Amino acid sequence: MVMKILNNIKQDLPGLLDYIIFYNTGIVFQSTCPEKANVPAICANLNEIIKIFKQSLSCYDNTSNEYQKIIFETQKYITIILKLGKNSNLALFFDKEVVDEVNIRPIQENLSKLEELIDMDKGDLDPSSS
Amino acid sequence: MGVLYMWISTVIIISVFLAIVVLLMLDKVSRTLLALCGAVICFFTLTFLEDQKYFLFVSFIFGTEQDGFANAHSLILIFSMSLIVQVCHKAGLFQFISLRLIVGTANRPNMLLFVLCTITVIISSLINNILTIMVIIPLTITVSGIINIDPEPLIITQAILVNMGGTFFTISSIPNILIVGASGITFIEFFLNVGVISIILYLFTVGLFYLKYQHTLQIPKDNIAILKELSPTIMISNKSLLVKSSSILGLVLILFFIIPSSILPLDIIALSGALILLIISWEDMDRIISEIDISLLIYLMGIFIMVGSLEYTNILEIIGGLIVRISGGNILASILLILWISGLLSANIDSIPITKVLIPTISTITNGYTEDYRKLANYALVMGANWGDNFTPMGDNMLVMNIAKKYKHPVRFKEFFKIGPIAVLFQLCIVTIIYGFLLEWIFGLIALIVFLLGLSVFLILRLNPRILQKYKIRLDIRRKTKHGNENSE
Repeated sequence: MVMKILNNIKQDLPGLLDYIIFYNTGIVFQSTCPEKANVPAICANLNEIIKIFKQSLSCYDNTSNEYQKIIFETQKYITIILKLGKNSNLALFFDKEVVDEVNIRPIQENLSKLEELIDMDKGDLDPSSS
Repeated sequence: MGVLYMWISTVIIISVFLAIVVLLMLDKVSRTLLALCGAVICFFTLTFLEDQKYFLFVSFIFGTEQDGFANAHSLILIFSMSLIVQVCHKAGLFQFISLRLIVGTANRPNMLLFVLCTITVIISSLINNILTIMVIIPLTITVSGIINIDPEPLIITQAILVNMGGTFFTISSIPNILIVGASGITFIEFFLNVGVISIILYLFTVGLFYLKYQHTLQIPKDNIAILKELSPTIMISNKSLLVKSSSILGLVLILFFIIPSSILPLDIIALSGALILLIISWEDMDRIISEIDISLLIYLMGIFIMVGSLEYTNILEIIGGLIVRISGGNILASILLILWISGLLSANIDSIPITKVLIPTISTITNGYTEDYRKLANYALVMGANWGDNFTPMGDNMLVMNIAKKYKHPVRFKEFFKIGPIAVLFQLCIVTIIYGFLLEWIFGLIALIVFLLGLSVFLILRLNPRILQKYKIRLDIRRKTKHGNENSE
C-alpha cells in the first residue's frame, strides 16, 4: 500500500532520486537509498536537524511553530524533509540537474494518504483514549 | 586516642554512605559525582584518622589477591562487554533483530505481546538495561503507532522485563558481574541456577501481563498490513560490521559457556573478543570508547571505595550478624532475608551499592555452611537486587518513563503501580517457594499452599470483575443503610 503511493509520488516527480520515510523515534519505515548509504545514520541526523531548527525558531518566536518542511539545496542535490504525520517524516532527495525548483503541490494528496497509513495514532483516531 | 579516632572514622564513613544513598534516591545529582565525593571523603577519613596507606584504596578498587582481584575482573568485564555491545549497536544488530521478529508477527498479531516481551528479555540479557531501553522503547512506540494500539501497557511490561532479562547470564547486569566476581560462581552454574529460573518465571510473568492487558491489546487486523511493509534490513547501518560484531558476540558467549573461569576468566575472554572485533572492523577505537558509559566505571570505582571503607569499619559484618540473629541462625530464613531485603531496598535505591554492601554479609551468614549454601545466598541476592527494581517506577524504570515522555507517550505512574509491585511479589514468592523446597520442604509446601490460595483469589477477581463490583455495591448499600439509620435516629 505504502509502496504503491510512493511509486505514484516518484512518477509525479521525475527528478526524485530517493526517499526515506522515518519516524521521530529514529525507526526507518521504508527507503529506496542505495545499500551503501547508512540510512539509520541519515535519519538520526535528519531528526537532529528538525530538532535544531525547531529550537532555533523558538529563539526567534517562542510561540508554537509546528514544522511543515525543511529544504536544503546544494549544487548537486535538493533535499526536502516533509512532516507526514504526528510522528513521521518523509525525506526526498532530488537531482539538481533535473529539477531546478521542486513543487510538492502535486504530491500533497498522496502525502495525506501516506500519513494515514503509516502514522495512525490512537490519540488522533480515538479521542476517548487520550 | 586511637579508639576515639576509630569511632569517629566509623561514624563519618557510615554517615557519608547513608547520605549518598539518600541523595541517590532523590536522583537530583549525578550518581558518578556522588560516588566520587563519597570515595574522597572516605579516603581523607581513613588516611588522616586511621593512618592508612594509599595501597588500601587501590585494593578497594581492584580487590586483593585473597579475593582474586574480584573488582578488577568486574571492571574489565563491564568495559569489554560495553565495547562489543557498542559496536553491535552501531551496526544496527539489536534494532534489526527486533524489527525482524516484530514484522514476523504480522501474520499472527496475538503473538505481538509475547514477541515484544521476548525481544526485551533477550536484548537485556546481552546488553545493559539502559541501552536495552533506548533500543526497545522507541521501537515499541513506533510499532504501536503503526498498528494503532496504546503503547502504555507494552512499555510498562517491557520496563519490568528488562530487569528480568538482567538475570539470565552473569554478564546481563552489573549486580550479577559484581556477585559472580566476588563468589567465584561460573557462567554455566549461574545460568543453570538463576538463568533457568528466570526463563521459567519470565513465561509466568508474560502470562500475568497477558491476563491483565488482553483486552487493551486487541490489534485491528487492517493495520497489520502496514506492519508487513516495515523493512528491518534498513536498520542495518553496515552489513559487514553487523556480521563481524554478531559473530564476535556469539563467539564470546559460547566461550563463556565452554571455558571454565579457572582456566580463562570471563573478563579476559570478553576483552580478547572486543580487541579482535576492533581490529577486524577497523573501527575508530577512540570514538567507540567515547561512546561507552565510562561514567558507570567511575561510579563503580567510587562505590568500591565506599563499600571497602564500610567493610574496613566492620559494619558489614555487624549487619551480617544481625541478619543471622533475626533469622535465629536458620540458613533458609537468612537467605530469604537476603532475597527480600535486597528486593525491597533495590525498589528505591540503585541496586549497585545495595549489592556491593550485601556481598560481604553473605560470607557472615553462611559462615560454617558448605559452599552450596553460600552460592544459594548469592543467587538470592542476584534475583532480589535485579527484580526489586520493579517495585517502583524509579531506578532504570525512570529512564523508560523519560523516553516514553520524550516521544509523547507518557506512562502514568498509577498504571505502573498496578502491575509492577504485583509482578515483583509474584517473582519473589516463587523464588521463596523454590528455596523452601530446596532447604526445608515443609516450609516450601506451606509457602506454596499460601501462594496458590492468594493466586486463586487474584485470578478469580481478575477473570470475573463482577465479583468485586458486587462486593463494592454491597458495601455501598451497607454504608447508605447505616447512614440512613443514623439520620433517622
